[in-house]
Amino acid sequence: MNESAGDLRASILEMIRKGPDQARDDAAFNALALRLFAYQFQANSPYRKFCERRGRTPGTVGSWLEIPPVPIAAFKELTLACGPVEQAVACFMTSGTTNPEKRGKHYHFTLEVYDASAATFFKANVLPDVDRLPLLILGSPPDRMPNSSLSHYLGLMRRSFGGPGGDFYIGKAGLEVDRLVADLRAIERAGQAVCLLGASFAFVHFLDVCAEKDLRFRLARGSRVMDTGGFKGRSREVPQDALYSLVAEHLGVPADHCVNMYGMTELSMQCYDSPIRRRRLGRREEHVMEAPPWARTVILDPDTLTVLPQGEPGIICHYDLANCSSVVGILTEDLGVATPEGTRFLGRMKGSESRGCSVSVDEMLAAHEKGSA
Amino acid sequence: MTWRDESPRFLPYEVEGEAAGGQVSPLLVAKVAAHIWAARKAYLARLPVAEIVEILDRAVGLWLEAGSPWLEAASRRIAAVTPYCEAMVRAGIQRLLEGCRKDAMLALLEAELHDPGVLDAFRPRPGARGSHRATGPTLTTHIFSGNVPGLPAVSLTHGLLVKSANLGKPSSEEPVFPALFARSIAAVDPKLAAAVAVLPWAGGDTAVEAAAFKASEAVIAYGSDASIENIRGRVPGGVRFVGHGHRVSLAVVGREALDPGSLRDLAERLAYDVSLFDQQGCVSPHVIYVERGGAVPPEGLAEGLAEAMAAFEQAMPRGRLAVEEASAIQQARTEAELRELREEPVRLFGSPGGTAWTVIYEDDQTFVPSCLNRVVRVKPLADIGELPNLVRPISRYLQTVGAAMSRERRDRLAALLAPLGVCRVCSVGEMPHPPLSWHHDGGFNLLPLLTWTSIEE
Repeated sequence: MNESAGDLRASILEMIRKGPDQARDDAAFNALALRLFAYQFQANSPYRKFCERRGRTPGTVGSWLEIPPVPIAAFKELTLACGPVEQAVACFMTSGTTNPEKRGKHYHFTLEVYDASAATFFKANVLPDVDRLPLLILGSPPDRMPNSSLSHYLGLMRRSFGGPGGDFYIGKAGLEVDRLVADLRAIERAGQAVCLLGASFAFVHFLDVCAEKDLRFRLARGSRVMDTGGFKGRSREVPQDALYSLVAEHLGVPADHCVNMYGMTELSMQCYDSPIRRRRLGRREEHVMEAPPWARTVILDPDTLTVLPQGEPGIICHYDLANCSSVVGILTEDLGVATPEGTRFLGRMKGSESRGCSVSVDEMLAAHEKGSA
Repeated sequence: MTWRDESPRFLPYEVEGEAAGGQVSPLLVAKVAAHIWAARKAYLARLPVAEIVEILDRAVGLWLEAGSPWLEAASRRIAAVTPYCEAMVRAGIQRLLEGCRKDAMLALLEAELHDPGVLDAFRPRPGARGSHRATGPTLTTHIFSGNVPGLPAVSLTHGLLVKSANLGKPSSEEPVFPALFARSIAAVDPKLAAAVAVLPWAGGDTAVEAAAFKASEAVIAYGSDASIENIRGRVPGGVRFVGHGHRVSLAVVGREALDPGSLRDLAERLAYDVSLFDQQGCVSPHVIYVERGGAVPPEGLAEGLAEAMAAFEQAMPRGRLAVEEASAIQQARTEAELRELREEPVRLFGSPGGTAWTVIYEDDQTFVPSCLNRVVRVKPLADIGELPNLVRPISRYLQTVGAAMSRERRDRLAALLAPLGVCRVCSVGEMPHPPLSWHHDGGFNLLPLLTWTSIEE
């Protein structure tokens, strides 16, 4: 039974169109995940080998949880695409912060599913109460960064939800602080609610400038901020709460209007930690990431890679039906813990430290870096 | 049963009450130091070294008797507080203490002092004029690590052989052994044990450690490079400091040792070296270099090693890991597996269903430090002559090299590696068990603690 990619995409789009608040239908999710697995198993030979080593084939896998998730490192080493890569319409690449020679590549043969997934859940988490807002984007436009999934995402949101007056503020020379300040002053005077969105490190950079120059804006009620992507050594590390108190201080946007998005090049869906959505749904837990109904996030025991119960920390693993042209299961390098309302993110996996006088890889690397610095 | 309670302390009777339940304060440390200092002066300092050896040998003997309650209690309690399995703790401590008997202590004294009598009186020295006497520190502070249970016995033995009072700080990860060992000395000779105290304080508590170091003439510390440097910076001038920081070890198998008939034995020895104390010791190998051209290819040894690792796991299961430790193993496995899937010359052997053990064979010869907890790489060599260049990048960490090869080639290997800082070449299967008289990290054990006085004729 070789299903066509088109039929699968249609089924996934159908699920996405049922919206962000559809009842979680585990049977439907399971059925679609298994169809997707069968397709990806036959269409993607490195993935097939990966599964066969584990004795997992469409014939032996009966539940989505048995579908072998692929470690994100694999996107650097293998071509995980269900089709000839020359036919891809987009190739999103990881930033390659550790090794620029080795960037993970995620090929997309159509962006229809990606865009439907991203736009639907963005709307639910960031703009559930308005159709459009001016989007001030602390990020690069997609034509400048064609291999960045974040730039594509930001461009998509601007097209789909951007009101007049927004723009991208990262150009060739980096963050265009002066232009952003001038535009924010004008917006402040006009009393216009806006949405600022972009990379967390860009916010830190901008807020540092604000602090240095003692700049304070009082953006109109209903203004909001969405940041994403951690800090990756590009700005000083700032905990989430501290970042949002700086946002409140310098932009006048309260923390209950600050949304954190968790996305990865290797995924087609995004998770959100959104007080805006929580308030609307009457949820209580803070700092939890919610995945859309067409994805599931599980926490795996790092020793056995089996699913852990709520409350036990482990490795975050996503099953994303929108990942229709690569692999449905993605094993991240992030640590988290499952809670009743979502996933609490605990940070990136670091290497381990030895307990005594032996030395582990990371300690030795750290020593070398210190020595050469 | 001869100890009073289950608390991981061993303190002079006079301050035991004060210490009960309370935070360790600088004042308490000063009082403890004063007591053991006085106890040393009254007894240990006057004891001939030969008698100290006898007493310590009897204490160690208590641990090695059939069904020893000391070994039993230590194994049970250490397994309860560390990740290590009880069978491994028992075997490891037993083997370590077997190496601390009278013969080993005498060999150590002989190796470093030639005439141990210099610790008791002025004696002539061969090749030196006049007569000479060696005096140990009045008081030595020991900062123990927790990775190798039993190891504090060695450090305390060094201190006692040079007639020093000893203040030990156990590791918070393994707080059990030092106090139990001190109690076993007390069971043999309470007056000698009165010069020993084991007091757990929070590592890096600068006020408490300042009080300890102020009372000391020597400080011996085990731990990470960072903690050694931290401690070194706080030891006052004039106080001797011996630090044992990060080290890595490796094994080398010569082609002549690659015989199908003895492959299993060789693999078992290597598995033992890798697996004991879950590779946390500085003597644990990270990489096994295997010469090509033997009757068994390096890949074949990797396969045999995998079987032996599985068998060792059956007998002595790897300990529980923290999330990050297990994740590090998963990442190492993933990296190897992906290269294997790309048909690079890599083979991954791993315990099914978990991270208990991992053997990675790869053609790439680069020395890659292990993420530990029983993860070892097997790499080929055309000839042992290639080794110096391969290990030069990590030479400042190099410590033990386990060698399976002919005696002549082992000697050649040692000559090649000595300039790179390797301080010990031993047989495979013996890597975790250096003799008491070894040159730990390339130096002496007793000599760094001693002050010499000479009478010129």
